[in-house]
Amino acid sequence: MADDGVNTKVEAVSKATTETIELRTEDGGVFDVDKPVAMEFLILKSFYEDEGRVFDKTSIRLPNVKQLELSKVIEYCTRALEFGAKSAAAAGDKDAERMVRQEREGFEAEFVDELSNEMLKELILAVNFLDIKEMLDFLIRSVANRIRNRSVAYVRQFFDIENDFTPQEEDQIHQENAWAFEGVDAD
Amino acid sequence: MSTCHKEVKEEGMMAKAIGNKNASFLRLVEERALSMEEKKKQQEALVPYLPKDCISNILVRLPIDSLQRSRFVCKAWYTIINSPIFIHAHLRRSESVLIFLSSIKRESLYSSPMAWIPPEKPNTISVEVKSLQSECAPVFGLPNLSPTLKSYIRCLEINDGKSKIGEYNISCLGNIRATCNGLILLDNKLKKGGLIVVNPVTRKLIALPLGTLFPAHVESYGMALSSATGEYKVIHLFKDELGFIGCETLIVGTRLWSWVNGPSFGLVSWFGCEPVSAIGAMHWVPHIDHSDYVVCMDVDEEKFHTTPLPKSCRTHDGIVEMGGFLSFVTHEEVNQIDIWILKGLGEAWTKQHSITMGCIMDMFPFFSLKMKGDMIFKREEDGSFYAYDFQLQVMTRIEMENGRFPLSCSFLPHVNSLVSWSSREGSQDLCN
Repeated sequence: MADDGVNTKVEAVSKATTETIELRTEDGGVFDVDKPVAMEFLILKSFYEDEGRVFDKTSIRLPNVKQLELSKVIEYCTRALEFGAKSAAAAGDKDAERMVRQEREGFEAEFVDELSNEMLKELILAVNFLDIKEMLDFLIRSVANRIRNRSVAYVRQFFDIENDFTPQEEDQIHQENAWAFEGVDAD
Repeated sequence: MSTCHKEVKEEGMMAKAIGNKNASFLRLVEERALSMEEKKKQQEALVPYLPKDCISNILVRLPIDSLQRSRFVCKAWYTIINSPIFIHAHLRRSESVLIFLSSIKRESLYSSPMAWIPPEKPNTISVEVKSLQSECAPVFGLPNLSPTLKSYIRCLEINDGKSKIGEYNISCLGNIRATCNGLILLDNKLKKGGLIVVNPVTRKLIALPLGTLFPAHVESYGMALSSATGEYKVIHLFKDELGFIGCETLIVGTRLWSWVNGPSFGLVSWFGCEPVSAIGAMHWVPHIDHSDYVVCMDVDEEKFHTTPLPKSCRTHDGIVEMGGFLSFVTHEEVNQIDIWILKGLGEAWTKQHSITMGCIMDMFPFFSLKMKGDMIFKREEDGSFYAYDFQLQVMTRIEMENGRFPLSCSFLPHVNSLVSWSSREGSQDLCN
């Protein structure tokens, strides 16, 4: 396949000219994924490239990934590749570059807004497993944005974490210096 | 419904099923049940919910006030946030700010109420009192110094053409002499010539042993991180009565100053410029005007060199650390400021950039924003700040909060961090 970034068709799911890989999720989902998108999953990329396997269209089972997560991952990675191509095409033209950047920021804001806290965490687990660096970075940034300026109770609830400090231990930490810049809790 | 298929072979985390698409329904259900059980076990074993490096990556993006609270979430998070690796990663992502002192006495001279500076703030920690406490000395020995000599330590954040003042709620009696990675070197006014190193965010401090005492106008302090040992070093440069230049260094946390062979007689005539730490060395502009060279001390080797400048450094020129390198910023013409870069001691200067828009003759380079990359200038005439954006090639005047500049003569580049001079965790400032 010609690796001409600007012309790569990444929107179509199955065109005769684009190779696809079949991915199966643990809950029975089956997805035909364009090869360029699938190669963003480093776990797949290394499976094929590093081990010199011939790409032979057999189905791959992803035991730690569910349908809903995979469909979101595919959506994000597909758009990310598109933005990458648009960015490359706009290189040198400051206005065009800014437009692509704003378009991307708009997509990312919408994408993450629709995710519940639970879904966000599930996606992180899935993307961590699939080893997709750019998307993981995006998801992590989104979680950081969601928990900053939140109370300790909120954060524990968000991550399903139990408080394993004894009251004495908590007191001891409070006795240590309070840091500067104590922000206001908002719940 | 039964199918004939080859056995599935596990390869690392992935199984490749070879066979026709109608895998046996029963098998699918079994597999799903197994994986769900495994996942449940995994979930219970995973405290916190997400893998540790994901948690670290999330925490490292939080601002310091959120980190303060996050320590209380659970023990695992407390440990992560206090670990030197995390602290260093957080430091690397933090933007530079300016740290300065607001003298209470001066501000009370103004008749209009300063809404953003109440006369005596509650919850203010005094560096001097704290340092006495850390030496386990009874506090009633504190001399009754006039409160008007007190200053509050504050910081100035510059972002997007605007500035914001942050309060540390710390007061001190002396001046800030040097800064490094979030630590500041302060005068300890309770001991003549004494010094304290403190992190104004975490409030951890340590009083330094007395070095050689000199009048302030013939001495200069710098603080740098030794890349070889990971320790923080205070460097004291001074000129004695005979005009000889001496130097002594102290590793923060140790008790003895070491004598270092200073630069040759006459090499440094002016100590008014704060040294710049870059490329493993401390750099001083040696003369108040017409400096043709920079005096550098290699932090680890503790040897002095002179580095010739590409052209003479005049009054409104200067050296600034930029992106880890040493930069020399000079007014080339009325409307042009050139920026030269030195990437290593002993290498050659290369001209990196010419600023041709928005140059003003009395603006001198002050510091550069570590993350955003902007070069910040200060004007001698009115103390205003300007930011030069290298990407957009635009010089912007920084708007000051409340429309006025904080009345302070001494701003130093700083970064808010959790860094401590010691890699040992736990409270260093309580009596052990």
